[in-house]
Order: sequence, then C-alpha cells, then structure tokens
Amino acid sequence: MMKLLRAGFRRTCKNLLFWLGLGAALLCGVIAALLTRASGYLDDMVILPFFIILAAVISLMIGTEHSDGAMRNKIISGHTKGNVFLSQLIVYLVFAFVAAALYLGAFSIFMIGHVGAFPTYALIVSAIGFLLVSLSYTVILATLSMMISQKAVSAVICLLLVVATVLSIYAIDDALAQREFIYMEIEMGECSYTINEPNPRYIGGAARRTMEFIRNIIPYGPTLQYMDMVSPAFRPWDVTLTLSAEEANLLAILPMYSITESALIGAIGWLCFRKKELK
Amino acid sequence: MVKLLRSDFRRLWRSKLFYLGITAVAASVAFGLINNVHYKRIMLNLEIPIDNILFLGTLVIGFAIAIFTSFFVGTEYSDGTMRSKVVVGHNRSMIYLSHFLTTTFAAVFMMVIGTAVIVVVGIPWMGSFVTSCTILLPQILCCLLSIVALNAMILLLAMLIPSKAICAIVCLVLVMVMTNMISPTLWSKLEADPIIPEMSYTDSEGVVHTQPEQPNPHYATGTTRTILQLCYDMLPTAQMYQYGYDKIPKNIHLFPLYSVLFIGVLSTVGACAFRRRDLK
Repeated sequence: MMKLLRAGFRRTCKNLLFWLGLGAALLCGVIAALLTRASGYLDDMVILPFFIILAAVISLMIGTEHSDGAMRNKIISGHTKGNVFLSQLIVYLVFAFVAAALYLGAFSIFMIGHVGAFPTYALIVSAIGFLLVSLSYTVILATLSMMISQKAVSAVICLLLVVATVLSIYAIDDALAQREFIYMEIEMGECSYTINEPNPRYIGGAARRTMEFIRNIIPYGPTLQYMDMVSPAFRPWDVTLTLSAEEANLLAILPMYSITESALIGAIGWLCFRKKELK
Repeated sequence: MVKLLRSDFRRLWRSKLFYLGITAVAASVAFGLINNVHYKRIMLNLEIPIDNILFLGTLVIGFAIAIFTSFFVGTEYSDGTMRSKVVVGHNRSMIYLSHFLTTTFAAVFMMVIGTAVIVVVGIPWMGSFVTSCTILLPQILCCLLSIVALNAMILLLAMLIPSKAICAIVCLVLVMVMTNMISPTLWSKLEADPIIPEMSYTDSEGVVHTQPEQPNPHYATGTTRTILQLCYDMLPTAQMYQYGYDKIPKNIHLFPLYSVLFIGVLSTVGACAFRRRDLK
C-alpha cells in the first residue's frame, strides 16, 4: 500500500495537469473574490468552475492511468485491486484538499477588508463544509473514473455529472422554496379582499422531507446552503450577530452528510472495483 | 470528396453516439415541454402558445454537439483514420469540409428531431401555432444557422486537438461557459434599466428616507453597449439563448448574417490551421 501511495504521489506531482489544476483552482478563488467584492453577493456561479476543474483533472488523470496500462501493471505486479483503488482515492483526495484549500485561501486573502460583522464560527464551519463537499465530489468522480476505462467517456460523464448535480439542486430548491399559502390583497374601489389559498406547488409531509434529504445528499446542495448562509458576511454594511436555530442546525448536520456520503460511495466503489475486469 | 462524404456518413449512421444524442435531445425537450405545460398552464393558469417553446431544444443542443463532434472527430484521430485519409491522397481541406458537412448534418438532424417532438407532443396539448408560417419558417432557418455556427466552432477545436478526452472537456466547458455564463451576463448588462427609480423606506425609528431617481451606473452606453450588443447578437450560444426564451429576439434579422460570417471565418481559419497540422 505504501509503495502504491508513493508511486501515486510521485506520478501525480510530475503530471502537468496536476499543477494546471491547482493553478486554475487558485485563479478561480481570486476571480470569485473579485466578483463577490464587486457585487456584495456570493453567487454560486463563482464556485461551479472549481467543481468542473476537479471533474476534468480527476477524470483525465485516472483515465491516463487506464490508457497507459499503469492500472493493469499494478495488479500484475501483485497489488490487490482494493489497495489500488484506495491508493488512487487517497491521492486524489489529497489533490482535492489542496485545490480546495488554495481556492479558499485565495478567496479569503482577496476578501480581507470586505467582510461585515458575522459569526466567525459560521464562516469556519462553512469553510470546513466546503472542503468536505469537495472531498465528496472527489470520491464520486474518482470512483466513476476508476470504473470507466475509456478516458474520454469518463471525462464527459464526470463533467455532465457535475452539471446534473447543479441542475437537480436548482430544481429541488425551486420546489422547496414554494410557500404553503398564496396570500393576495385585492383592492376594488373602497372594498378590499384578502385571498389566502393553498399553493398547489407546495410540497409538504414525507415528500418534503425526502426532497430535503436528497438536497443534503447531492454535494451541490450543501454548497448552496453554506453559500446562502454566509453570503451576508460579504456585504460590509450588513451586521449579522447570530445565526437562526435552523441555520445553526444545518451547520451541524451538513458536514455529517458529506462524510457519510463519501464513506458510502468510497466503499461501494472499492467493492465494485474489486470485481472489475481490467482489460 | 464524394468518397470522403460517403465514408463519413456511413460512419455517422452506424454511430451509437449519434442516436444517443438524438435520444438525449428529444428526451430533454420532452421534459422541458411537460415542465412548461405543467407549470405555466396547470399551475399558473397561463395560456402559452406552442410558438413560445418551439426553440426549447436550443438550450441543450450545444452540449449534444460538443460531445458528439468531439467524439466523432476524436475517434478518427485515435484510430488513425485521419492520417490514413491523408496518406491515400485526400486533400486536407476536403477532409475538413467533409467533417463539417457530416457533423453539421448530425447537429441539424438532432435539432429537427427535438423540434418535431415539440410539434408532435405539443400541438394536441397546446393547440396549433399562433404565428403565421411566413414568420415562423425564417425563424426556424435562423435558429438552424446558429446551430451550424456553433458546430463550426466546435469542429475547429475538434480538428486541432487530437486527444479525444481533452477535446471533449474543452468543448463541453466552452459550451457551458458560453451558454450559462457569457450569454446571461450579456443579457443582464443589456437589459439593465438606464434609470434607478425613486425609492423610499422607513427606518426603525419611523423616519422616511427617500432616494431620488438616479441614473444606473451599471447601464452600458456608447461603444461598450455596441460591443456588448454585437457579442450578444453574434455569438451562436447567445443567439440560441435568445431563441430559448419566450419572445422573438430583437435583432433576429441580423442573425443569419452574423452566423454566416461566423461560419465562414471559423471554417477558413480551421481549414488553414488543419492544413499546417502535423498528423503524427
């Protein structure tokens, strides 16, 4: 295992794509900070490119391992498939961690002096949450890339997967944002009417709980929720002293979702890769 | 040339990715149609004519073209077919043209199927077209021309990047950026109001503050506005973005001219660059 890890890290560090990925992550962080400073609003479009970079770099690098035959050689030289999978996963988790830290670091440095009064613990937990979300994405993308031997196919599927997570979270958010009742005030001359009727688009009960669960499980869901929570911090004129009980609860549970999800998908990937035929 | 075209079209008809692309476009258009009808007609009780959603496919066709064209051309590189074609004496410009015609046909075919799905499923549900055929037909042709322009751009990249995986990523990211970032940004800059209306609010002490009407600092004027408008009308993804939403684009009469220019310039640049390319 140690040999696999050493070889993995050495190969990765010598790969131009690895450094390009880190550079792009750093650049994304700087651009995100500049855009946020200009608008006073943390738009999710400034974070999406980071996940696209992760998808592109991970799928291309693992795809190269497949196409060069490096993956097969490791098996032939006596390493178990489970260990090969684990070593690859650890290497890319470290890459994602460094890339996310660079992104956050660049963002934080460029935001100095542009942050309003906001609970510090919320900012720190959200930053940790973002790191965990990046690791969740990495586990999913690395598992997919390990299972699909064709580099081009895995690259396209990984990119489309990132886009699909974004679109699905938008759809879920839109559905959950509906109010339970539609309230309208109509004035006709001297008379005024108030209409308060149930909203047909409102989703309640078990369906709502299921949708909330799905929103927390898809990695882009926690990202959007962290962003909504900390967005007021980047408006220097805003003062937020405490978070609401609901927000504090979210901060406590969202990291758990990311950790559980990563562990679960990693375990499934490990089991599936052990049965995979490497041609 | 005829031989090249025959072989490319034969490959196209046998390509699983082509049929997958058609299925993906048709399915996403059908989903969009159902979503539109369900949301606007049933939930909001709004009467929307089928004309307004006829170009729904333009929002997804870019992704289908990016994947299909990069794989179609990338396979020629990875299998060595591209080099074999040159070795047996085919002109490189002709190879480029043949690929352009084949992938353009595929892209247009996907869009036609997507539009057919809207017509076939939508008419029984939403009624017939409100706009007359003389207005609608030129619009459809303009839209197809935008798709050809987008394909010309993707093909340029696909012919110059021999690695199928890198090409697919570059094309997909480019389409994503152009569709989801550049086009909405251009739209928001151009549609911004020139004047911020008068606003008044009451603070916690009951004092009413009034902010007078003032010019919007983000409103683009002069040369900046002309450049933004030119980009918004010229970029194929921005044209498709304008078709994908409810109303008829403002400068639709200029779209064919811009698209033809776009296709001409990119194809010439692509063919020249491909002629100088070292096919290993």
